[in-house]
Amino acid sequence: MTATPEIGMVVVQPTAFCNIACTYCYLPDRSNKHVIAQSTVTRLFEQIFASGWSCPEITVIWHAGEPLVVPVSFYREAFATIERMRPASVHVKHSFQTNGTLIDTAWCALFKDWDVGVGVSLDGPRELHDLHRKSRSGKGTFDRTIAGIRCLRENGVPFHVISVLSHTSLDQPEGLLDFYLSEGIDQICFNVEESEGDHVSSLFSGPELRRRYAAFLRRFWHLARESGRIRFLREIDLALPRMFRPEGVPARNIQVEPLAMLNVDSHGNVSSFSPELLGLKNPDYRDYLLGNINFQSLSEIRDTCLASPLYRDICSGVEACRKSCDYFSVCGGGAPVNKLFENGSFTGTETSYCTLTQMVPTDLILEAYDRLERSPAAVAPPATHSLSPIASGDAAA
Amino acid sequence: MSQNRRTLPTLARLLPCGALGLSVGLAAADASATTVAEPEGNKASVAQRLQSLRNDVSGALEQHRKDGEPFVVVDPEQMLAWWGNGGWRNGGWRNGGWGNGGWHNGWHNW
Repeated sequence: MTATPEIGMVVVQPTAFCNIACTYCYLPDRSNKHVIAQSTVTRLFEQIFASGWSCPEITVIWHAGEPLVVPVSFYREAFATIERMRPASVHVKHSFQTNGTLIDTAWCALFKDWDVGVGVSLDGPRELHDLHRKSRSGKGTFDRTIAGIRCLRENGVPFHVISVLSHTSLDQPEGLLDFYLSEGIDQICFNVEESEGDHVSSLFSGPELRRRYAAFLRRFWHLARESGRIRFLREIDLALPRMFRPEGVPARNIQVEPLAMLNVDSHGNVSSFSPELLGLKNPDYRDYLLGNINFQSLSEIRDTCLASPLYRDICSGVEACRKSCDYFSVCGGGAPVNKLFENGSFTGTETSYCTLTQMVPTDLILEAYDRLERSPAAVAPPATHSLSPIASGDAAA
Repeated sequence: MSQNRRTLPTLARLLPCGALGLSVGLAAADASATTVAEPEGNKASVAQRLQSLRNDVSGALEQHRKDGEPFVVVDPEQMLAWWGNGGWRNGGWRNGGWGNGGWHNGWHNW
């Protein structure tokens, strides 16, 4: 791991507040309505651009709580400020992960004006979505989320969805695909309900999870590709370049590199590694905080990071993975937050999260490739149907 | 490493199509396969199979270099650079955004 950061992603929590209350939410502070100051945003990007540590393209993700509870005008001002400061050699791609309930034409105008990436949290059709994604009064949010998605489509804003899979949805690959197609959704990411923060997943305790998830993903992959109408299935399509790469080309894992992910809360507190750590409490790791961008320079925060027990233990965990895990070459050392909450320590190795996000897709692709090797004539021509590949600017966002 | 020459033409046909084409091709091969999966006991480890895959990809690139043909329509060195960003263009996911680790691996809550 390099001591010189390469900042590729900045996750900003403009507010911890969320307007809904999903049953599986890991955020501890989602009723706090504090909003990040414009001066904090300015200071953050001044420091990033002055550091020289920025990758040629930085993805800025405006994330949890619900970023759309902050007004459109806030983002217009923030984006303009960042654009004025941005060096010509750095491209900034703004992105939102939203529950979709507040999307309207004004938001769509912002998304289009700034070529913003949009991810919507949608767990599938009403009966699946409303199981966990509830309003603060306990009602389902499906109608409001799907209205937001339809607004995006009507306004020509590309978007992807993240669907959290539950016990129920794992049995319904066909039904889920039918639903996505009926709503014109063609970029899909699956998360399996995880244990993080205060939330303990009911799924992870099940012994059959790996087999069930593999069966689900394999079936969905086949059906999606057969349909010719799904442009992007994250779990498979982003594993492919990590597996089908020439020897010697490294595969990064930015969750274990110091400051590769720079995570900033509404008060300017900075963490790195897994963004879910931001806001959690732990005296041994100083609440996972590395400093505050309002009071420290990024160089000071980097020095704190490199000297921290947090970084030391994450490095130990990565080394343990390197020595013991068959999948290390595609994974690069796992997700620290999942090691912490599943194994109780950053220094451990395999988690259920690893199994689902790395091992299952890798196994499925290897199995398919084995079959292709044994009967290469059977492979269909790599037709792309009528789909246009995802290009810069709308890449799954 | 053992270079499986049989797979090179297949790889050479699939790789230029990027992640989308590869995803389509592999899914079709997997779905239509009539062969029974090799027994687990006969298989190399996952780490060995992944290593073999990378060797195959390197071999496919090298073969096309030797043949004096451009690897599809792009310069091989440029293609390697795209790989280095975690993705490859030309029908795939361009844009280091994700390749830069944006997603895989990456963070899954975006």
